[in-house]
Amino acid sequence: MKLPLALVTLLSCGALAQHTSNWAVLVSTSRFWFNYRHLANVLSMYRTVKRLGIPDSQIILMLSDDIACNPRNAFPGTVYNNADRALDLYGDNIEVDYRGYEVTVENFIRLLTDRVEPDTPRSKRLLTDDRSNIFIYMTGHGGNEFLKFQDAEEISAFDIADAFEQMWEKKRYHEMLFMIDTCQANTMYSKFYSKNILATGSSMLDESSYSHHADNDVGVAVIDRYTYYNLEFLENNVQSASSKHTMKDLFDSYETEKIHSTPGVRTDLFKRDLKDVLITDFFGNVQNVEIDGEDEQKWKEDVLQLSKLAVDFTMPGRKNGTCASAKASVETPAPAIKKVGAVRVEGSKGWSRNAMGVGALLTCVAAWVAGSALS
Amino acid sequence: MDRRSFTVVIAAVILRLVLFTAFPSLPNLLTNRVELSTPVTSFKRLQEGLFLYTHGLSPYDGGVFHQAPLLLAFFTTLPSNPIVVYLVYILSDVLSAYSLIQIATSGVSVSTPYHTSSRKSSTWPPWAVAVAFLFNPFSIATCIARPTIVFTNTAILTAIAKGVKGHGIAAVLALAMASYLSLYPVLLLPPMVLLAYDSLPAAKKVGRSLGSFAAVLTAVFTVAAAGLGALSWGITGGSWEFLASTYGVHLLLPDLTPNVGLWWYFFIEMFDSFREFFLCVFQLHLAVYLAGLCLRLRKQPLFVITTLLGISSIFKSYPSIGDTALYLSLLSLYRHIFPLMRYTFFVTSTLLYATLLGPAFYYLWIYAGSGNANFFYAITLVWSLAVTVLVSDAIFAVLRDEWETERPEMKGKEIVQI
Amino acid sequence: MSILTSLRSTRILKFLPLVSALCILVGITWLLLLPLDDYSRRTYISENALLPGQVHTYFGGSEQDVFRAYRHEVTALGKNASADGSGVMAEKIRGIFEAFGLKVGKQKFEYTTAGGVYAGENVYAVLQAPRGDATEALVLCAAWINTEGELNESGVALVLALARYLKRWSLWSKDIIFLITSDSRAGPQAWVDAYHDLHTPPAVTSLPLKSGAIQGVVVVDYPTSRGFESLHIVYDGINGQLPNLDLINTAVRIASGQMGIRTTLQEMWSHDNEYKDRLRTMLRGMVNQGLGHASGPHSSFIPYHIDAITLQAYGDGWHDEVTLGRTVESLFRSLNNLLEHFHQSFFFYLLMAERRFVSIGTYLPSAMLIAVNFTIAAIGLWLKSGRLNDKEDEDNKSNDGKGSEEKEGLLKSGEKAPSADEQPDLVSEERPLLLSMAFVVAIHFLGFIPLYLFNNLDEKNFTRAFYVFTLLNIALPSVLCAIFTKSFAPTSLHFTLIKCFSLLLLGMFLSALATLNFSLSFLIGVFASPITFINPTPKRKWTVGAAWMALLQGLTPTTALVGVALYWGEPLSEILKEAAFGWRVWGMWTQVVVWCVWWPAWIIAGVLVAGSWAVEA
Repeated sequence: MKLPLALVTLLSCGALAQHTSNWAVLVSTSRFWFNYRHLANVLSMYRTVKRLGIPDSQIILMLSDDIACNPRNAFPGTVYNNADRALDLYGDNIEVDYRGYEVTVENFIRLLTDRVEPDTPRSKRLLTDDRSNIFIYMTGHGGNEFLKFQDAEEISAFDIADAFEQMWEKKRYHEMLFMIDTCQANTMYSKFYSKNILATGSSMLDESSYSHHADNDVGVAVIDRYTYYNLEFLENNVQSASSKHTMKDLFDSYETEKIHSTPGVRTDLFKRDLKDVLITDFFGNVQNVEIDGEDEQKWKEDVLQLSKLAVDFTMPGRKNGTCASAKASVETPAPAIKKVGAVRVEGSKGWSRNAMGVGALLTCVAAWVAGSALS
Repeated sequence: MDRRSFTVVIAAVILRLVLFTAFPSLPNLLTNRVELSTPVTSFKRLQEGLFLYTHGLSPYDGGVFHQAPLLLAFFTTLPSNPIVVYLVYILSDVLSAYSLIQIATSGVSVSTPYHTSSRKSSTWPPWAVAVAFLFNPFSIATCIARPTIVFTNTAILTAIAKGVKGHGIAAVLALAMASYLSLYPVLLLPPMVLLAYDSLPAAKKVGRSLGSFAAVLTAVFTVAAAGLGALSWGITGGSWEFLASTYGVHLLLPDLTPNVGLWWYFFIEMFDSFREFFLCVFQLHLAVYLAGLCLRLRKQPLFVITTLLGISSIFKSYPSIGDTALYLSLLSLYRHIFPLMRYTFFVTSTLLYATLLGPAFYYLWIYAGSGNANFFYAITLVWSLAVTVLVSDAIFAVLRDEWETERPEMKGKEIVQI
Repeated sequence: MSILTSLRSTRILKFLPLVSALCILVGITWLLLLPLDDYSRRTYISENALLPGQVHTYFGGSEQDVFRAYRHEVTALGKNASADGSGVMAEKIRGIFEAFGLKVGKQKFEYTTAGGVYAGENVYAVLQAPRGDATEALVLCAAWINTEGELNESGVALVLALARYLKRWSLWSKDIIFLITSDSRAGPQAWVDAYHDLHTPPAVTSLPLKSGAIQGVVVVDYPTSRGFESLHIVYDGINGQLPNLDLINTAVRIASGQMGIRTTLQEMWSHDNEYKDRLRTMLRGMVNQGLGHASGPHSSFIPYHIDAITLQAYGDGWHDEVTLGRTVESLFRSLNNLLEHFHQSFFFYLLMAERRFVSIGTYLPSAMLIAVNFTIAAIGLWLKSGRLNDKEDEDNKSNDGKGSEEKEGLLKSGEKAPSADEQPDLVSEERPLLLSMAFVVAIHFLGFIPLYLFNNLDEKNFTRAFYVFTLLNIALPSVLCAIFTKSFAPTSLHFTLIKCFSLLLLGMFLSALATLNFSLSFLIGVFASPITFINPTPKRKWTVGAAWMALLQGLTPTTALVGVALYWGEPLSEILKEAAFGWRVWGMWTQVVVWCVWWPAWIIAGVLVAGSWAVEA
């Protein structure tokens, strides 16, 4: 599966350093009612990227999704990111790709590196190539160089950095924007070492990120400050996919006094000047189409042949693999099968059991007497 | 049994009867204490097994019952009256006391063919040993809680009582029963053979080498154990399931219910990949003392048995207070070495502290919810430490006693390790 | 040869009493330092889920009229029906609950203790969470009669009005149980026992209706129809167990932060948050904890690991039922946010102001030091008893008169120690343990007599029995000592060992107790601390002996009981009745500790002092 794709991308790799597709991975790593705001953060981002044209098929949404229908929600089936409750983030067409207990570190890394089960549906895969721009947004509870996933496990800055390197090696992205809103968020991107990554976070080491405001009828904080001001900028300035605002404009809009923490930007891995990087390079779906007129038909046939070859090459191996495992399972002795199901409980039936018991005991006593006599 | 011993036994029986009948909630309260009832001895689980058994189901279904099938046969033949069950347990204690009296009367603890202690005069008389067993609060609590370890203890004491009389075959038969009931007494076979051989009357010893004697007894033990296994096979309706559900549980520790031992917490915390390795290490650790003790204390096989029981009461997979009670009662045969022990006060107070704090911390953990498992485990560590110190101190005292017997001029001198 | 001998060979032994004294001194000073800013901490909410005071509350408006109507009914009912709710109350309340469309259950109970009968009927309704899964529940409770014996008219009416009001919300994740108990002492206990199927029918009947595991309980106590000035938060549970500190913090934060009501603790009606008031709050808390009685209807819930508090309206002021109702509403919204139960925070703490506390790590050493003082003294005595023997041995060799006299005593006592001339090394290690041990154990078992007496006598005889017992108690040590010396001819070694074992047991019991009920352990430890310094060897002037005896008589459990009676300003019989009631109904362990731990230690101390005359004479 992977091989033909890689080949396709190899062949299609042109000299132009521009992207041809936009993807977004939006992750809320927390659970439980009191983390309402994390869900609202991520849904707000979801709404923004959708507004700017990225289709659902190119957005991977990971969230616990236990808020809208939580019994504690005074407004069932809704999620708001503002106390004015003007916009129901949950009302639109929401496609959640990983929900509930599927939001795990393992699934997240598998998604990024595309090391997934063969039968994973397309909606759960990041089908990017080396001409794809990826926007990764994460929010949740974090600490110095780690981010908690649903109070059960955590991902470290090294894990993410290595996953990104693997993506780079596998030519799974062209450029990447990594945005994170947690406590001590900037530590999360401090370990990156792969090319073409632009990273930004909400707070420095030993700094907490704060929520923006609470809705006193819902009874919880509804959005985080950093995300709030990002959204504010995007809503006010980036009205459509044709907007010419750059990432520099966005980063310059950050104000520590408003955000109550020190947002960070990391550009050393990113080779373009921020002044030239449009916001829509990551948030919108602006594609540069390449037209390669000559021998188009031939080229397509080549690719088809190659992918067929590749499929032939990979599929038998997989078949062999499954056969071998099937064989192995035959060879291992099958565990004694116990009848599962309701067993009729007989009434306490006395004498046969008793007789057997008495017999056994008498045998013991006889052996004992004999043994004592012998010695 | 002299008159005094008889009085002691009667008094103990009355005390137990009173406790059983005057405080009807006491047996159930104690049965639920993890310090007294372990997954492999609990009376509550025995009842579960009995219910399944008498209703025509496999007693091992459901993974609650982990005790030997003969117990099922035994309890199904009993009338289902609680008083009868109480009497059975009391009788078991009486038999244990009777065995202890016999052992004390034989004087093996102070005088063997190879060694006669110079402090011979200061042993306790048999009745006092019986008191030390029958009126030990740990023994009483164990009897009231009705775990099946009581029967194991009786079998072990019977084996020793037969052993000190030189009745080798009877001794190993009883030991086979004890091992059948709770596996670990199998470790006592070598010292038991030595004990029986040493106790043979000189006339019988002629022409019998230790090797052939041991071979015969080992064969008898194996046959008896196999016979018990076969009987169990018959009792459980022709199934070998009981092997995995009883001895398998002793060996593999699938049930991590807390107890006074050291295993449960350790194996809760264990990563699965290391589990097998540490199971092997822990089990081997129990066996590792056997050879060394048999060689070093060859002159006093009874003390080897005592020490092995002490060690297994600390390090076996599901220890309980009943095991410690057995060790303490055997230790009371060694009254003459008490003056040589150095940490008696420390051990006594630590054991008392642990006895008080254990239930308190268990309460904080399980009921009040304000403590956690670490509290209770810390106390079981303290308990085990105290018993360990006691065991090693007793070994020290016995060795010192042997040494002083060899070199009377060294009596009372300080020794310093260099 | 060992640590013990090396200890013996040094002069540490002489310093041990000093170490003991230091332990006591440091222990008490430690406690007195706790209210300082450096040693106590500000409270904080450690449970993220609670989010106290983040919601708007809407109780009020027309609800106030509804409330007044219910209060009217409650007042009328309170005047007409007999006070303990002979079923009329329960029936009436049942009707009201059913009118809201709630499922209702009733429960009858009757306890008999110390000749008194405590009967009544509880009534409760279950509001099933519209979108919840019925696995968890919260309880809003009001006792018909409060702890002071007054009709809780506004409290009951508020629960009724809130039941009607809260039912309209659809956001509950847990069921809410509205419970009206017919009294404050037996009713809640009967209900919570039956809720967990641990009751004893037919005296306490089973509950017809149940919900999920109870996660939090709020009791409303508002016995007047006037406005109130401040909210008194009562939190002590039975046997000194406390609810999770987060619950108290949440209540304080909502009441004072959101609603602007002043909160108070431990009946400290004015509190300037300075050292003195903090200390008083803490000490009052310790007394309540130490006594281990139920301080309100919430106390019965706490042993079931259910966090519970009582909100008591206090004083005359401008806050009214609406403010209290809103406080409860907001509190329930916070509790509703809980996931499972209170996980974090503290179960062991001492509060010294509504926003100031110390946790167990900081305060436990004080009680432990006092308990350890006894253990140190016991170890010292053990070592000393070894030396006594040595000395006797030397004395024996030099044929000193005194020494041989003691030697005879030793032999007379029936010990089977081999004669010292043959084996001098043995004697130095052997101590006459049996007699001393038996004496200590026997005295401890003696404690069951007063325990039984004071729990089973009829309440009418309590005062008389108490006076008789007090008189006997004064004479008991001397009598026991006389009997003991006459029949066993004990030596000073015996007395040393008796004291050693007694102190060892006392130290052991107190340190175990300190983990369960810190305050009780500390208080008993302080009362018993002079025992450490009694010289067990009977060589003392009779004046010194008399002075000791007088001091001891001032520190008996009976004196303490009188002290408690004075502290509360209640007659003795009431205190004894409460104790017997607590033992029978609440499962209160204080009496056991007093009669089987403290009293035996005291008796033994008395015997040691009396021994000075008995032996010398």
